[in-house]
Amino acid sequence: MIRHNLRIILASALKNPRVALINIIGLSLGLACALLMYLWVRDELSFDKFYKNAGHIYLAYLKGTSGNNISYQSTTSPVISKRLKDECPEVRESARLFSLGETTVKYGDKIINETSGAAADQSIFSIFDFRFVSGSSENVFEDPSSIILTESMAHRYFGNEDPIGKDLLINNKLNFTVRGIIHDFQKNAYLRFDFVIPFSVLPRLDVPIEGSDFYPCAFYNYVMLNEKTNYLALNERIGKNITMENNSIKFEIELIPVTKTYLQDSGGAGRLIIFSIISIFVLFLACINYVNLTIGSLISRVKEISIRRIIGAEKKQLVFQLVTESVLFAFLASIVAIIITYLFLGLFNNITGKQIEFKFTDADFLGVIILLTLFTGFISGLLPGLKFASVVANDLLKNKLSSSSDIGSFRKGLVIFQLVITIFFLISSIVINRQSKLITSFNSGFNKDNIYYVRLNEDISGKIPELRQILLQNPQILNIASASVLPNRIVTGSYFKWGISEVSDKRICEARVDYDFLKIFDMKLLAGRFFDTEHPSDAEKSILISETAYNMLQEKNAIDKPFHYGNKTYNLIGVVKNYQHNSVLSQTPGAISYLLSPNSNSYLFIKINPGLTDLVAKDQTIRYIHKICDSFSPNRPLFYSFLNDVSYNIETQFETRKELIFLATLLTILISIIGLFGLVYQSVKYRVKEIGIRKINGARVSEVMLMLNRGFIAWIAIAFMIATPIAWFAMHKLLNNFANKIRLDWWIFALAGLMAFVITILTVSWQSWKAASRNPVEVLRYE
Amino acid sequence: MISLRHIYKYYDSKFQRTFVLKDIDLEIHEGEFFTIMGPSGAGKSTLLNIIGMLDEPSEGEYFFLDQHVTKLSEKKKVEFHRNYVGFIFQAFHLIDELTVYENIETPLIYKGMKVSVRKSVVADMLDRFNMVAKKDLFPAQLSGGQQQLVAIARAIAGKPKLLLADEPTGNLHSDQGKQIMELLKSLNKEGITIIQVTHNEEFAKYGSRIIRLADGLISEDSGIATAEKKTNKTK
Repeated sequence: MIRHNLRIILASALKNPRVALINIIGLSLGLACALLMYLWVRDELSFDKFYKNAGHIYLAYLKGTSGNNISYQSTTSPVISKRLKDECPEVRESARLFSLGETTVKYGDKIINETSGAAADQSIFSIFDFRFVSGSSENVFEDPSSIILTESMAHRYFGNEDPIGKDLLINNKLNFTVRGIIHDFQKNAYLRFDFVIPFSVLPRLDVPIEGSDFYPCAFYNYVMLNEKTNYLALNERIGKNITMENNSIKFEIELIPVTKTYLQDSGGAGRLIIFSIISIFVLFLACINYVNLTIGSLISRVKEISIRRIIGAEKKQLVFQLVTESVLFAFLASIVAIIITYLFLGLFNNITGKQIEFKFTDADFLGVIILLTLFTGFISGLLPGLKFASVVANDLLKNKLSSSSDIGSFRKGLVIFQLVITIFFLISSIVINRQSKLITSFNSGFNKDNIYYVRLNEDISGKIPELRQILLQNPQILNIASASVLPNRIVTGSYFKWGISEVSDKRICEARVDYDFLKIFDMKLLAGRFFDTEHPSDAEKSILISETAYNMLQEKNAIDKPFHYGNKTYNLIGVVKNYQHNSVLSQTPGAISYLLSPNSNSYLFIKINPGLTDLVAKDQTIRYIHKICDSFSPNRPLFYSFLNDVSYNIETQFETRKELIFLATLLTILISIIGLFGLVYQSVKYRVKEIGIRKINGARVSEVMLMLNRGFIAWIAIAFMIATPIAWFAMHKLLNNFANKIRLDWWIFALAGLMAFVITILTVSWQSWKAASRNPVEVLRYE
Repeated sequence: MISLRHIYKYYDSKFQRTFVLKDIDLEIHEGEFFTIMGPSGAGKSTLLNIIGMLDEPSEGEYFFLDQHVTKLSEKKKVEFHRNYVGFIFQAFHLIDELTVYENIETPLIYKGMKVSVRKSVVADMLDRFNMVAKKDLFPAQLSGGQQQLVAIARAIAGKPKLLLADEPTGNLHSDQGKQIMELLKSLNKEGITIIQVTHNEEFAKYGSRIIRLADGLISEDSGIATAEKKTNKTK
């Protein structure tokens, strides 16, 4: 039977090579999309799973609940680790880990700014089984001058020398002896560092490690639980024991499995679900193509099927035949899909910022391919099979389908569904694209162009006036200012007592700036004046606040009134007009206080002449800046960047998603085009005679085309009417997540509809024009 | 074997009911070679399709081997198709994509026969119809007469009790037609009940009993005539 079926499949594929090809291409696109999505999701879920105890390791999170808003932060206070171990018998081991941030490491004449160092308790080695290349973890941190490096870090400093026992100087202060080398972290390790030093030395690096339950929340607290511990129940207890409530915010400690920390910190599983659904939809579209085309070609196989019915085939045998056929097609398509996946993996990795690989020997991957193939084949074959097998054999034999109108409307329904999805994707793509443009083109209310900045360390932060004087000697440097923050990265802030008559705890960010801060960024004042050298008291007595903070005050006219801030009283001298000081996507301008700090600061901003378009000259200026600044900090490398390059995670993530959606849209359009093409190709084939007769009776090419296209135009109209409200609702929901969002103008929907219309009509007309312009004599000759 | 009682077949359109068959009463016995004749549109093929369970009567009762066909399940009908009924058609209706051998084999596969049994049955058929040399050819490579032979081989491979032939000679020239009719006759002698529809007076005479349909009614039944004659004689 299978042999017969294969023969039939081959014969009908050869009879209709174009339809067979369309089927395979369509299915393979859908499958490739599903495969890529599978690889991505698998990769996203694979983080930190490779540790021996991965299933029992948890990270303590700071959970903040404010109304319906729940936020999680992965760093907590350093006392949490000890509290958990002391108070919960389920906790077998606990360890603190601190991420060091920028650290200067020196060996011989090699000085490098390391950004990925950590300090941790000895117990970290009992929780995580880091793989040692040499040395061992045993009691290694009992000696506070121990340091453990990854292979690549060791190579950076020691090349081919044996690093064990060698000394590294950290932050020009402390010497550490290399006691062990561990393997580099795998690419799907979320917890990663290049070196780790004992936690106990942190105070000597000016990191305080004392604190209360909720202060300072800057440490990772890992715990390993006993086997068979119900961590959810444990969480409930911890949540009750370690908690704090203030100002309508409630803080708790919650354990989250270490294998889920990556997902937690990168925005939760929502996007995985959304993109899985998207890829399943794309696969569905491909299946719909197959179903539609198969039904179309079955009409020409009516004879074969009806004979089978008459000579004793049961319905299920016919369905089985068609399912075999579609599984075979799906199998061929899966081979093409693997090739497509292989070819596009690079592009996909580029977009998602991943390094996904796949091997054919990978059992999971093979399993998924087989499952997907069977699934695709099964649903693709089942629908046409059921539709056809239930047609009464006798009608089939007469070559007239008594239920043909039923089959017709079934196909129509499928095409409309396909168009609905396509239009939905088009609308989403346009909306997301516009929203992304909004991020880049957003009028942030200040000018950050041509601003080069230097992050200052202690060696240099006190020497700003001298630095400034030397730098300004370069004619291409127009202005210089300094501040304690980056003006476009004022994010968190804290609760602080401030106000004039009503002094209460309100969230506010603090920026310490110098005299030229306002000028260099072209910021505007709403009222009052900025810090001025002519008012020597400014350094001690004066404060400015942002527009938002000003609006929060009770007083209408607050300039020059005493302003309580913390435990001091200042004179409020001005109000800075709001500007976008944080992510365009996530926040609106908040309350900021500006205090004067002319001589010592963390960042130096250098305005380079915007007229300097010559790249070489610009490069020279930048090198000049490096030369001067580096000479002030000979032992510690400095960090430089353009202010415009400061980006927000949420925004880059949004960009990634934009590109993924764009890719999915392209795929849906492509699959729809393929489907429509096949559909028209078939319908034109069946109507060749009709077209010929019409033409002999005087129909013009345009009239024939209109006749052939008319159905599709109506379908788009219906699809548009279905897709628009769904898309509006979905986009409305999506945009609600953002602080600044585009308006859902009517033209976005109209444009998507128009695009779908043009694409459909072009696809359809290609075939219908060919049919309509044929010489009718040629067509009718064979009759 | 076959018993039709008050069989009606009609199609309802908006304003009127079009009758194809009107009040057909028939008894067909096992071993008969039964011929249905009549002008185009008289309802011959419809009647044959109803007998073959490819179509259902609008009214009336149909018994096949004492089973009430109108009440049979779809599954049971398939059983009947597999085991009791064979079909041949004017247009042969072979599966173009399969070889002669595979065409004959197909119903046996559906019947669930084992490969070895199937092989011998198909070999017998090929032998019997002198088609051994042509077993790997496709229908399109055969003459009309040969195609009809294959169709007959396919129809009787499953050893049916009843063979339904819808103008089996309609697409053949007279020599080939005669050959097919001789074959049907010999099959009938072996015990297969045959019901044929034909336009051809000469071929009609191969039948042991002939009825004529006109406008959905039986206008003449040689069986009843002979039966009447018999009764007359006995009187």
